[in-house]
Amino acid sequence: MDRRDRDDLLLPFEDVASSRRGFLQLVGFGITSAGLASCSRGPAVHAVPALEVSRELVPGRAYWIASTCGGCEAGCGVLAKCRDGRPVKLEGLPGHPVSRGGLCPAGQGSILSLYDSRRFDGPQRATSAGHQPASWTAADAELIAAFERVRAAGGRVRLLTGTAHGPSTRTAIRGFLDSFGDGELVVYDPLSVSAIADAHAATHGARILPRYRFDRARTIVSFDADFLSTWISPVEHTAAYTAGRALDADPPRMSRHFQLEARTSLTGCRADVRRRLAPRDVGPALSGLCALLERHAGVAGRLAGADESAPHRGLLERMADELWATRGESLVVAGANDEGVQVLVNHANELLGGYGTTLDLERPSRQRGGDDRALERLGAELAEDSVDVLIVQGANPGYDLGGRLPVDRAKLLVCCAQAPDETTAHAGWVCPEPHFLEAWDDGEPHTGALVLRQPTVPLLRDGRTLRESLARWSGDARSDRELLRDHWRAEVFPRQTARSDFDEFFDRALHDGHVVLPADGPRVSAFRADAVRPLDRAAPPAEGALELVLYAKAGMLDGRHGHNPWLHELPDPVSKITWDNYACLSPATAKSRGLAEGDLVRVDLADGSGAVELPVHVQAGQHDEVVAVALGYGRAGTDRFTAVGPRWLEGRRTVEPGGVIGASAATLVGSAAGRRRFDGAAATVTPVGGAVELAATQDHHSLTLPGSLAPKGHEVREVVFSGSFDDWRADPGGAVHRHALPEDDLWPEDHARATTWGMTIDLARCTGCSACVVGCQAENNVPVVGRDEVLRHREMSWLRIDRYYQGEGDDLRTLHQPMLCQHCDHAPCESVCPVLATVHSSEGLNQQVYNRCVGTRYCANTCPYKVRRFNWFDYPHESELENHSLNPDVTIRTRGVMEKCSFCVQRIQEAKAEAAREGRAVRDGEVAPACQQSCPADAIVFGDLKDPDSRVARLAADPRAYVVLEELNVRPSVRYLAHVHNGASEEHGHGS
Amino acid sequence: MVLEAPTLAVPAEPRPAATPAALVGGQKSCRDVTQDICAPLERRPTGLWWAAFLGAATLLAIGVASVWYQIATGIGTWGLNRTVGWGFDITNFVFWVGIGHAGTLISAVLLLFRQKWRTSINRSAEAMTIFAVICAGLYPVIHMGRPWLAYWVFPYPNFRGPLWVNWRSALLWDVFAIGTYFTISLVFWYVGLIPDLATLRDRARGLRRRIFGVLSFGWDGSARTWSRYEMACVLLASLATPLVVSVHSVVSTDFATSVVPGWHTTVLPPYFVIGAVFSGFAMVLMLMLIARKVMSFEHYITPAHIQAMCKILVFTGSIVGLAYATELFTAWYSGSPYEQFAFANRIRGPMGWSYAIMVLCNVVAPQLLWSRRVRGSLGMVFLITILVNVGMWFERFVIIATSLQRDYLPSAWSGYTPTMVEVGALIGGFGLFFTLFLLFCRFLPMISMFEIKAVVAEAQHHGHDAKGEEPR
Repeated sequence: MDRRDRDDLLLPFEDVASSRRGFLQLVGFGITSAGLASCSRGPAVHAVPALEVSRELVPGRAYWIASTCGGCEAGCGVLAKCRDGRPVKLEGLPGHPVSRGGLCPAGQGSILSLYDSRRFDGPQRATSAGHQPASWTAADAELIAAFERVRAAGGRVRLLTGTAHGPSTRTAIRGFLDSFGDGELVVYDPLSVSAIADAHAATHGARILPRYRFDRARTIVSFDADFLSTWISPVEHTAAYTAGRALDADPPRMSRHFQLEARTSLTGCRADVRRRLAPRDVGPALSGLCALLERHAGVAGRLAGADESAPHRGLLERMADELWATRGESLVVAGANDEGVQVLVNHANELLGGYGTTLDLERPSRQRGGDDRALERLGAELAEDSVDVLIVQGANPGYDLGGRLPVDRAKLLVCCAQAPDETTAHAGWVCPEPHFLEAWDDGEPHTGALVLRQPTVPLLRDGRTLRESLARWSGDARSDRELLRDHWRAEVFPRQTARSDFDEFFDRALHDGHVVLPADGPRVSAFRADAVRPLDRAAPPAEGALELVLYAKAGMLDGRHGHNPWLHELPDPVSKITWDNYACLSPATAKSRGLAEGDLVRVDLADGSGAVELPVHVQAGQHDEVVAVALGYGRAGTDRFTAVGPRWLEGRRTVEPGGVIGASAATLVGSAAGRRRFDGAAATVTPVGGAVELAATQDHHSLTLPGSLAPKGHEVREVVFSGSFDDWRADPGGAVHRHALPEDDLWPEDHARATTWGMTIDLARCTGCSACVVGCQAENNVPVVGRDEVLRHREMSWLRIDRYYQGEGDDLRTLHQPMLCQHCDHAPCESVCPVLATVHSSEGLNQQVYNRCVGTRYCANTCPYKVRRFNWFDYPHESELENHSLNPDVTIRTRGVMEKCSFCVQRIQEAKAEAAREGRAVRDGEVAPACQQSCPADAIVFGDLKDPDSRVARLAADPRAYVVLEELNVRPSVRYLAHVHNGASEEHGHGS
Repeated sequence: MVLEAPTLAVPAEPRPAATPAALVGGQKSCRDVTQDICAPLERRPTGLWWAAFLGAATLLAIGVASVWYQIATGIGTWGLNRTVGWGFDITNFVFWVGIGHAGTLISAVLLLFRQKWRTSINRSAEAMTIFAVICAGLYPVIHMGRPWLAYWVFPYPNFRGPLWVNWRSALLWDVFAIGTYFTISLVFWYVGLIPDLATLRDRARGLRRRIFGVLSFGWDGSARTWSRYEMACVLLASLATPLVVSVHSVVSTDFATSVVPGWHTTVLPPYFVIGAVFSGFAMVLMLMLIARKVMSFEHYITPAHIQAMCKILVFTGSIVGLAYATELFTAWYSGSPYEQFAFANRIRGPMGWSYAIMVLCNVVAPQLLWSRRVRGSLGMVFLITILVNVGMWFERFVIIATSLQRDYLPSAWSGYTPTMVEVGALIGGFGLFFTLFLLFCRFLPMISMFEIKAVVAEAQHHGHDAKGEEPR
């Protein structure tokens, strides 16, 4: 090309095209540019390039946004780790008034639902051909017109929500509903604790839910409340519970926890004393306990004599004695959604002086605001076709209520949901909501403790918060942010005195994610003892029938996470089963009925009002007269997971097309005195023939070896050590069996190390909640493999929680042990790799070099801890959108390579780079692997073992510290701190 | 070598006259020998050969399809899991390496000890070694997650920075052990073929003559050539002999150097070597029994050969039994609860049936060979050789799968069920082996003509050199 030709190219096209040569040039240019253009990636949906690059947004560097978790209503603080304009990981927000820096598995997993490809993109209008997309303008115009008509006719408008504790939303709702003659807000919780509030209305004159202060309790008695895993605010409770069991405090303290329960809950697994109690016995047992406490208090109540016939009378006496001895620092809780039971609980706590100490009424909880009786009324109104407009937000009554709320009978049903669900199917209009990571919002988990939510990413799907929608429908054009800010300026700012400038106040609150206002609790009246009445034992279920207990699982909760593959693949903390719910039967009951694990049965309510078909799970420690079923499964549309996991010759689908994951037990939720009833209904269990395999990640459930194979004297594998608090005080290291290892080394350490990264895991703190498991999955891009692969023992989790049962029935003792790469100094895996794909770093890390690995799997075979994970297949994500949840700091592993825990080496490197930039050493505590970061119990500590002042080195020197399989002399960098319980030593024996 | 000396004492059972005639039947002349052995190569293949070849090729095709699918899809198409990382793959590998051993033992060790009875079988035994090592070598390659990068196990100069191989890894030792073994076996076998290739050359015409001409390196049959040739053979035999011990010892370190209970034991090297000799002899005997029938070599592979090999089988089988007992004793004596549990689990655990098969086939079945009647019954001998091969395959399976299945942490225990694809890879190994062996039968002299002739020549002057005839 000579110069003239090149100049030609720069001229306007008509000049170029006038000649044949020019025309050919144009064609060439066109084809080339079209080709180049088609090589580029498709445009990201609604991603807006930053015109003005923020100072904070440096490509490749993470930034953190404080917000509030939306995984459930507990309102835990989160730090969203963002990279390149999108959140990739949720972490606990340190110093948060609710969560104290921890996060739960569901919270960790909730980031994945942001990138859920099923989410609605803009409003949907119901037509004869299903929902059709519409614009917000059209939706607003039509809905405003409809509301006007209803308003003019004085029609009935109902707004049905889950617990909405955001003050700005509450204000917006009130304003909107007040514009109608008959507008009412109905709040319900799928996992209802309505009876607790009702009981307080009866005993304290205010319908409030107290804030439970497990940290202040020295004696805890829980009847069926799974407060460490699913009950109300598990992260908060876990942090408080472990704070009340601090061996490192001065003086060391350890609460004593009694658990009486029907099924085997995670909380029960942690209890110091656990007894099985059928749901029908909860009332009598509580009456008995209250009677004994009355006797202690010298009160002549109307419960006198109730202890005579109470079950577990000996234990009740012991509990009463201990509760009384620690009065003022005692706490009684119950999970039953039954007013009578909860009134007795209040009575017990009142007798023990718990109100004001272990139960906070100054700042009561707003984490469950539902009122079952209001829901009952709404059902009646709907049934008589008298509801003109029903707006549903933040709830899925079509699923939660098992079809018992006829939402389709509202004349106009408007759903504010993120993705299609069982309720939106009936909606006239769907006005989609943004994911909590995309939106502004506020909340008030405890009265006076306000939390804020801010967008971490531009809207990935076109949605609008309820607050904004209500504003539009009321003719208010302010943006959502303005609505929130204006509310805070008017309502929140004046309630505080710390700051005088609103902008400064609001920015600070955003930065912290929360603000605590001076307590302004509701007025409660003096305790009304006349509400207390003894509860008699209900009639036992008919011959052959069992009592049904419905419960929630840690990941799935009420089913709101039913489309989250991480949480489906999270092993249940107790049963270790993934991807399913099941009918739990005790070993004795299963045996007497000839049922084995996986046999299909039908669970029928005795009154014929519901039935569900499920496989049997034989659950150690469960009450013999109980069948327990998890809620939250069988969500519509879960056949999407048919695409999860590898497709190959013998591969079986996670779910068949058209099927669902698990079975919905929502139809089994009964009703008693207007309240949703989760336990105690009589149910029959009938085999229906056939069996399925339940995908459990653990096959052998005990540290005791199979009887006939165990060498004499070594029947129990010494992997988890456990001892009582009393024994610990006498001899802090007494529980641990140590081995004498040779001092001198065949290969003396020839590379002196400045740093040795190490970890301690305190088994006395760990509750087995599994937050770390999901946290690790999110941080390290661990793939989801599907049900069949789990069945084939090919789950990919880098961090698992081993669960060991010892004993059965009332004597069941459960130990949890997080197990991850131990980063051994004498790593067996390192010497066997032929290509040096796994090597030791100069800082004591056992590193896996993915791109060097040829996949012999020798390292996995020889790993005594079996923590190495092989990429048996490629595990693609369901949709490209899901890929956005990947952590850019961590490589995606290809098929055929080995992977394992890296101690979050990317975080170590980041901290080191930051320290080097600032010209200093890495500070202790600066590096927190994902598992440690979100641990609500603070059980995991990471740091430099070589630094004698580091927290981890101090813990590693604790007498309780031991390494698993010490006798192999592989010298792990992970130290476990022996489990300590507060039962009697003879009660549990040597736990290992 | 020293270890092997007792082996040779066994055939030396007192008998009236171990006449060379017993080693070559039917009063064959040298000309007959050439005629008989070359005949199959110079005529069209028989129907029986075709049937066998098609059968073997079908098995091979199944194997190729399975392995193709597995490499294209992922190791997940095998039944392995996070706990049991090796299953059929490494079982097949160890099995085939073991099969190879008899060839080397027969050709090298017995050559050094001047065991004349080896002459009829050494050629095919060596061929078997090579084919077995080819089969064995395939499994470690295909068992890799990324077999296309298998060349990374070689320490070659590269531009990937300081990347090198790990000399501490037993898998790397394997690479060298198997590589050396294959090279030496191939050279030894080929050198042994040269005089016979020259015979074939001399009998052939046209292209065939030219090919054999090149392959026989211009062999002229002069006394000087023969003298150097014999020296070369003895030297190669001396080089190959240590491999009988070393190869399987190295293979055993794959297991012995790891910390898995049931693997981590010093008895494994001799245990593996004797097992290899045992299984190799069973395989040679099995193939010989087939070949003498199919190729009409009854005069060359005589009952005397079969008797001798049966005696080696019962001897090695007994040592294998002793090794099993030693293993149990050391597990008990070690005091290590993990080791004790591993063996209890091996015997009575969920895969106890495989241990039972192993003991029945490897320890009990060969004991029948103490009986002269059983040794005389070709059917019984054939059955026992098959049982021994099945048993030895299971021995490796037992060691690999049952040890891995339940090791230290009970939470990680699992089971192991092979998939169709894995079974396909197993079948394919036999397909490859038999395909190669049948091709060998078609294109190369199965029996070493020049060595048989030496035996025949001696037979014709029988009694003249008693020292040479007596199997020691």
